[in-house]
Amino acid sequence: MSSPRNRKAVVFIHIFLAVQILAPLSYYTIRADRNDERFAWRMFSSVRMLRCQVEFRTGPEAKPVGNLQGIFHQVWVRLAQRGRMEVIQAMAQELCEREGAEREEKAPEVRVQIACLKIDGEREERGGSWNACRLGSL
Amino acid sequence: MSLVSKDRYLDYFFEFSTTRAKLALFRVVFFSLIALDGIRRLPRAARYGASDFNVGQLAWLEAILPAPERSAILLIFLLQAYLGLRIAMGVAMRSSLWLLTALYGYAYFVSQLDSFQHHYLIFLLLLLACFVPWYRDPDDSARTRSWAVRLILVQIGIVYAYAALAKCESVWLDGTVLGQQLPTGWTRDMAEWLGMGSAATAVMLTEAFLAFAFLSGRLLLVALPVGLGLHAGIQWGAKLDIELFSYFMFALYILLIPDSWFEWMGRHIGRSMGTFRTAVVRAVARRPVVVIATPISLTAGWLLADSLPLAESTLFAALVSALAILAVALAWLPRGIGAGPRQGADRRVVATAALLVHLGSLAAIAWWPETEEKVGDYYKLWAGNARRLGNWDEAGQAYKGLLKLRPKWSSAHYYLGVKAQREERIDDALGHYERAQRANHNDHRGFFQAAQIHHAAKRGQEARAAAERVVDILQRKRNSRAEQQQLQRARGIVEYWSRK
Repeated sequence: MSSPRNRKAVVFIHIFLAVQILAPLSYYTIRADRNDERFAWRMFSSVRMLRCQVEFRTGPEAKPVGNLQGIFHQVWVRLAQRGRMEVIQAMAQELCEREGAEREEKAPEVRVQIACLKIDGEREERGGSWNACRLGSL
Repeated sequence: MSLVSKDRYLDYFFEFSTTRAKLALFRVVFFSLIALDGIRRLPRAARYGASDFNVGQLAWLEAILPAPERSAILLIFLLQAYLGLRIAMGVAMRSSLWLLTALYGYAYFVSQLDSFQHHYLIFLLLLLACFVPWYRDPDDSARTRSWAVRLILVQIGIVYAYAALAKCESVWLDGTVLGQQLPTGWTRDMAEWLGMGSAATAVMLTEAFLAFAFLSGRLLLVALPVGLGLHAGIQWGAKLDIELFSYFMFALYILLIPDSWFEWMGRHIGRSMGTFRTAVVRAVARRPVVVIATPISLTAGWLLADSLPLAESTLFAALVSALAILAVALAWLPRGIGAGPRQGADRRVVATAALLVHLGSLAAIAWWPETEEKVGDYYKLWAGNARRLGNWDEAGQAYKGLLKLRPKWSSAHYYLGVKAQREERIDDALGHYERAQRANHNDHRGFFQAAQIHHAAKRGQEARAAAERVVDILQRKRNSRAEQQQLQRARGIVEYWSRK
C-alpha cells in the first residue's frame, strides 16, 4: 500500500502515533513529578484536586517571602499551589537571582517548603532544608 | 505470524474515506469555534511576560522559542480569530492552516501559563488538519480518501483511552473525586441516585467505550449519542472552567455522523446548492468585480481591524491586510504553490472570495458582541496584574484603556487616583477619586481617599462630607479588616470636623 506518494505520510503517522502513545505513558512510568499531568490526558483526575501550601524562605535567617503575587503573576502562584514542581523550581531560581542581586557577594539562599493535601486526606511534605540556589533542582 | 497484515494495517489509514460534505460541515463548525476561541482568549494575553518570568511547556523548546510577550500573544489570538474564519469560509486554507497551527502551537508551548489540556489537543488537531484534503478533487467526486482524518479520529481515541486509564484508581472509582467535582444540580442528583461510585465507574467505562469506537471505527452510531451525552453532561452539568472544550468535542462528533446521511442530503439539496454556487461564481468572476472589490475590501478591512480598542490594532490591521494580499496573490500562482485555479475566471473567483472573506472576517471580529467585552476583560486583568506586581506605569496604561470601554468602571478611576497620589499629583488624584465616586456612589474607596486628602489639606466641609459617605456605605455591610480600619478612620474625620 505504501506507494512512494504516501511514504512520507507513513513516516509522519508513525512518529505522530509514537509521540501520542509514549508521552502520556511517560506520566505512569518515568515522570518524576506526579502532580504534572500535562500531555497525559488525565482530565478531571484526582491530582487536579490537590491543594498545596508553598513557602519560600530566603537568606541565612530563612525569612519567609510574604507576598508571592507581588513577585510572580498569580497564575504561577496558583500552579505552584497545585504542586507543579517545575514551576516551583523556576520560582525558587528566580528568587535566587533576586536574592543574589540583593546580597551581592554573599551566596544566595532560598529554601522551599511544600505541604500538599491529597483528595483522600493524605498529606505530603517536601523540601525545607536544602538551598535551592545551590542545588539548582529540588 | 502477525495478527494484522501490513497491508490491512496501512489500509486502515490510507483507504479511509469520507464524504466531502461531511468534511465541509466539520471545517465550518470547527474553525468557527477556533475563531470564537481566539476572541475568548484575549483576556488571557494579559498574563504573558508579566515580571519577565516564564516556564515553557518543554524546556528544550523554551530555549528556542522567543520569550512570550503580552502584545505578541494578543496579536496571535486576534490572528487566530481571523485565520479561523478564513479557513471556515474556505479561503487560502492551506497557507492559513499552516500559519494558524504555527501561531497556536507557539502560544501553547511557549508557556505553562496555558494549562488547558484541550489547547494541546487542538494544536494536534490543527497539525493533522494541515494534511486533510479540504479542496475538491479535480474529478469532483463526493467522497475523498484521507489518512489525516483517520488520524484525527485515532487521536481522539487515544485521548479517551488515557482519560479512562487515569480514572482506574480507587479515589475515582469510589466516587470521591466525582463527588467533589460535581456542583449541586441535575448531574449531581443523577449521580447520587445512581450512587457516586457507580456514576464514576460509568464515566470511566463510557470513555473506554468511546476510545474503542474511535479507534476501531465500529459502533459509531452508538458512540455518537453516548459521546455527545457525556460532553453535554460535562458542559452543562459539571460547570467546570473548560472554555470551549465541549463545543470542540461536539464539532468532532460530526466526523462520526454516517456518510449515508450526507449522501442523502447531497442528493436532495446538493443540486440546488450547486445552482446557487454557479450563480455566485458567475457574478464574482467578472473583471470589474475584482477591480472594485480590492480597494474596498482592503480599505474597509483596515478600518475595521484598526477600530479595535487596542494599542496593537494598527499592527493587526497591517498583518491581516498583508495576509489578504497574499491570499489574492495565491490565486494567480501556479497549482502546487497556490493550490488553485488555473484560468482567468477561476482566478478572479478565488481572488474575490479572498477579499470578501477578509472583509467579512474582520467585520465579524470587530462587531461580535463578545469582542468588546473580552478586550475590556483583557485591560482589567492586565491592570490588576501590573498593579499587584508594582508596575504602576503599566497599570495606568491599562486602566486608561479600560476606561475607554467602560467609562463607569469606578475601580479604574480609583486606581488611577492611587497612581496619581503615589506620584504626588494630588489634584489629579482628587479628580480621579471624584470620577470614581460619580461612577459608583456605593464604592467607598474614592470617598475614603478624597476624605483623607481634604482632611490633610484642612478642607473640613469636603473632608466631612466624603468621610460621612464612607461611614454610610461601610456601616451597611460586612467589612474586611482593612475596611473596618477605614471605617474607624472615616468616623474619626467626621468627629474631628464636627467638633470644629
